[in-house]
Amino acid sequence: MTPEQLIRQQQRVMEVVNASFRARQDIDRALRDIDRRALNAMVLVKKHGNALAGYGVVAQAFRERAALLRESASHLQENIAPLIEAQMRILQQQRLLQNFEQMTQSHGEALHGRCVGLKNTRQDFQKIITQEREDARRILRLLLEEVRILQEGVEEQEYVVTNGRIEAALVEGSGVPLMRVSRDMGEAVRIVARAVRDYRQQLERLQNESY
Amino acid sequence: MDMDILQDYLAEARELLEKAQEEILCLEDRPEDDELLASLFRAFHTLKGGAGFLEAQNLVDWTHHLEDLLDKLRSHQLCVSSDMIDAILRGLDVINGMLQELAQGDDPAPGPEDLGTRIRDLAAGVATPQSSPPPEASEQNLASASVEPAPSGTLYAEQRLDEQGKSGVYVAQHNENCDTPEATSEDEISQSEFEAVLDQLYGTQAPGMDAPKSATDNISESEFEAALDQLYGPGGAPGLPAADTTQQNNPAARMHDVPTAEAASPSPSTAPAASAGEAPKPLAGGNPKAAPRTVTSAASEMENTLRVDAARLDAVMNQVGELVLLRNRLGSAISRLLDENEDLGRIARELDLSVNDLQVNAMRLRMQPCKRIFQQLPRVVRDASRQLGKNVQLEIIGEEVEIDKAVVDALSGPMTHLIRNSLDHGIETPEQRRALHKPETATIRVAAIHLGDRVRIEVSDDGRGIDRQMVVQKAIEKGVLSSEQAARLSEQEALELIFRPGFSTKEQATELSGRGVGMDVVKETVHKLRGQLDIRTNLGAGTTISMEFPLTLAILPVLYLRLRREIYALPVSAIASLVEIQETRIHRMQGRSLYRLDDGEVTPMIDLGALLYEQNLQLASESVEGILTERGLLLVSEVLGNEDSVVKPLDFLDKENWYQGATISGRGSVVLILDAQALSRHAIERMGAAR
Repeated sequence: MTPEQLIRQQQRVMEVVNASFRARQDIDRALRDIDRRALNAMVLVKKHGNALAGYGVVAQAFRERAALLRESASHLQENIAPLIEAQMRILQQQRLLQNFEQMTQSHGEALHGRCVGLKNTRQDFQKIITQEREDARRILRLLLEEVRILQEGVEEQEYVVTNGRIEAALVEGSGVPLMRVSRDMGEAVRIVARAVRDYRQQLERLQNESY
Repeated sequence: MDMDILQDYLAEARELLEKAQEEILCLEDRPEDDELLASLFRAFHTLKGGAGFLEAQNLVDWTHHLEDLLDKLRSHQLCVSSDMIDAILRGLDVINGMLQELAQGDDPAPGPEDLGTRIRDLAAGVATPQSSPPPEASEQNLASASVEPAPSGTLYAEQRLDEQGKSGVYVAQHNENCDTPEATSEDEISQSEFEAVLDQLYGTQAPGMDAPKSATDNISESEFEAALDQLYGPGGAPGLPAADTTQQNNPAARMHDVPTAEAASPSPSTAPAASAGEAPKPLAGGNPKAAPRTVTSAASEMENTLRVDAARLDAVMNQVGELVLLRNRLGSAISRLLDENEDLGRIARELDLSVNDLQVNAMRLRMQPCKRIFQQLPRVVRDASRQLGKNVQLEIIGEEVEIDKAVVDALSGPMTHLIRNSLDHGIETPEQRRALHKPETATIRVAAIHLGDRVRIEVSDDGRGIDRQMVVQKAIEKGVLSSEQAARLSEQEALELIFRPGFSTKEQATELSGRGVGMDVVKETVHKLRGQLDIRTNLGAGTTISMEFPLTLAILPVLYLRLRREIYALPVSAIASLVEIQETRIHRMQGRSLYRLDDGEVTPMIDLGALLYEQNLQLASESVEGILTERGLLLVSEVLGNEDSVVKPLDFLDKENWYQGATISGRGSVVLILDAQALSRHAIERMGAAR
């Protein structure tokens, strides 16, 4: 790996770290927003007795799904730290190998012939890097799987929002602004979906470019 | 005295009184309405009969005077006059007082002598300046009215067992000249008193009773027989000799054995008329074929209606409340086990639905129509408008809207205060209204409106409205608040000064208002019933005071919130919406923190951290969320979720506190329920003090 490639990989890792932080923040904020909107809808429904009970069920489901999404998002965080650690170790080993190569090259090819240990050392470095890469790939796969689950959760949430819109349309005459509540809920879900999608793209780019 | 019978009588008597008052006020508009007159007569009749059964002699005497007057009116011997209406209304008040004495276990004291004399005079046709009987009959009427009308024969009735051991009412007629020394007016029974006995047994729904189309309650022999046959089958009426089969299919022949007004029998014990439990009330009108249908529908109605002691319903509601708390706890516990067992979750949801249904149905048991609150108002308006010389029309809307019994019971006084205040302060005199180009007759509108899980009761008038500046000025003069405090009041807060204890815009208290108590009572009652009080006014156009109450007081939906480490609850009814707090929207003005909402509206911001813990919530370093209420935006650490709760009172706290009570959360912990209004009030006072 050339020094330029190393630098680019370092940048890629930093981008993932940033993306992870950003996604985490966006998802957290949007989920909190979803929770608040769902709770708001439930309060609104409760204030109107049984007349809006149907929407109450939707709002309750919306809130429960938001809690599940939050739980899924917390698993992302669990895996992002090991991935970054693995990436850092790979970079460290690559840097060491690069220094080693530079050092051996400065002594000429004859040295290699005379010293078997150097050859073994290089092999050891490469073995470690391979292992770390394999580890990072495993973590990245796990992370992408978590993201996929999160995206599924978001899709289910979108389905709940659609149900909410139908319920809101059914009780439109009640004078309660449930259509607006549904629209706000939909907007909050879209923010989560966008944050998760962007994050997934960052991870996939890392997967494609680095391994 | 049998307390069960007394309680039954009191409940029925109060219903009769309420109905009678309503009908008397209608009678003022429709003095010739025979149905009304007959219905009123029956009401007093039933009251008297029951009182006699309970041996409340003074009540019997008093209702007798009124019954007598009504009897003359229904037979058109006298004509309805406003004097009579006044006297009857006052007579009703006396009966009400006597009923209260009875309820306390006392023997009612005699009614006021002057009013009694007045009613007797009216019944006798003397001292009735506005009474105008038909000219051709007036002399005869007056003559007949001056003497107590005596029946040609007097019926005696008694309830006892017959030879076969069956219970029955035995009726016999004594001739007037039957010289019985003990036969005073207290133990004689006339035909009308016989009805009272039946009324006592059946209330107003005695079998065979038809709609009061006729002012007379006479029953013909054939009708009586038809009713008996309907009840027992031909010849099956108890008390009839079993062997006397030849006469069973011949009512006319049977009637010779049954004592009637025409066929006098010297001994009351010789001829049983019907069993005690099933004696039919005389049929009105002359259509015997109508009797079976009437009997069936009346019986069916009786079967479908139960009179239940309110204490028993309260006990059911308490138990449902406990069940709701248990349901919450079970739900919370199961939610932590859901990963392990999905069946549990399903069962919990089904239980949730069942408990909700049970809760709704139990709640309905306690619901009563707002008519019960409103029915006294026509009289209040009538009396007060006459006293003040104002023309007022009362408009009542939504009598059928139902609300918790506790609200119905508690609102009677406050509604009267509101109406009187409106009449005294709000409505202008006819001259003033004319000068203002307003209709001479003012309108007071009372409405009950169903709003989801709440009911709003509004009292509005088209009077002069409330002058805020005048209210503030009076408040300063009376030392209710300082000029500085007054300067900081918003328009709404200035208006709400009228609810302060001791505040009145009047210099001199009158019979109707001016003591500064009424509106305070309204506020306190609304607060106790967990309601919300609002006032809107338009100077020169009128004022509307609205009170919003939860449909039921037994279950309170709350929102749980976290304030640092503590969990609190806030009634859902107080919440407008939940708000994400943005620092850029917070403003400070005259020492008050304000928050700009999405729609640009600005609302006071109340930091619960500062209020409850003397330490502001830090937007920069801790989570802060907003709960928008009608009184302002409450800042809390986190909003957790909602739940149906049961309020446990905190009687040991000072009167001035900001808790509505306590509840037990789904997690089993005791949580204090905050009172948004009290918090807001306290926050405003605190800000004022800080300045």
